[in-house]
Amino acid sequence: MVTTEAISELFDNEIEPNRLLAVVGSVEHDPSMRERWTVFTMISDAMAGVPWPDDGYSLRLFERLRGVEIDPDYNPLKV
Amino acid sequence: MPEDMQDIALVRLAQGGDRRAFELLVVRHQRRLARFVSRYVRTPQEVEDLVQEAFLKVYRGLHSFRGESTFSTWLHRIAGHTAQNYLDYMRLRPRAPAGDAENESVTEMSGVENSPENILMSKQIAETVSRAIDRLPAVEREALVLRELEGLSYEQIAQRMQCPNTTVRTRVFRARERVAQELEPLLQPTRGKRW
Repeated sequence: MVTTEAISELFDNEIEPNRLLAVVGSVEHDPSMRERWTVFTMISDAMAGVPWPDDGYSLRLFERLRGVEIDPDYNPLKV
Repeated sequence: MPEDMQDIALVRLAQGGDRRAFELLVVRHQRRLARFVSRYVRTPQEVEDLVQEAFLKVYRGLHSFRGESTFSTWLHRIAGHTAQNYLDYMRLRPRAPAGDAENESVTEMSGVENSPENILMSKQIAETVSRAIDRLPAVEREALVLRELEGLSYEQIAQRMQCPNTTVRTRVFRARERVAQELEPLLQPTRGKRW
């Protein structure tokens, strides 16, 4: 079972490679894990003095991302 | 973990088609990217549009990231490139008649990010986090500050605090959880609407 402590380790890039998939997978299936990632980001940003705008920010971005696929021939620095 | 390995595990997963891994990266980086982009453009709507554009380009071109720089550096380069292209376009486009331009700027300035509620929320979050950190047990506060503000790895923190890595992991986690608990009353009303 994935714990919120594992989310904290993933957030710090300190998760063991053999646990990575399980922890990322938990974000997909468990809203409380997604919430934890968001709150840890909020704390990190607040400590760095980065303002936290409205709560729909991520959702609007994910909506736009839905129609996008990875393109092996596309280089974002050459457009 | 050295700085050049930051996020690399999530990037590799995302390159393999794991969208959730990419979403984690987005949530993690989007607000710092917004702060960076706001140096180029003035209105909140322009900032949000450019941040979205940058992430769309990043996702589409994810295979071209080879790890020669950190993911954050690469992301910021793309955002800077995108913002500059936008500024060049705005300089060259035909100008609207004076009346229309005035209305357009009023609409843009009343973007979501600038609403009084959001400004207040940002301030309350910052104040709550600051107060909560002040109230942490000293060892947890030290571990969290070393991690977040100095960017040290658990191993480096362990050396500094003369304790095992596992103790650092627990202290950082407990510090975050205590701060998260103090944020709970602010965040509970909008749970489920963030992501």
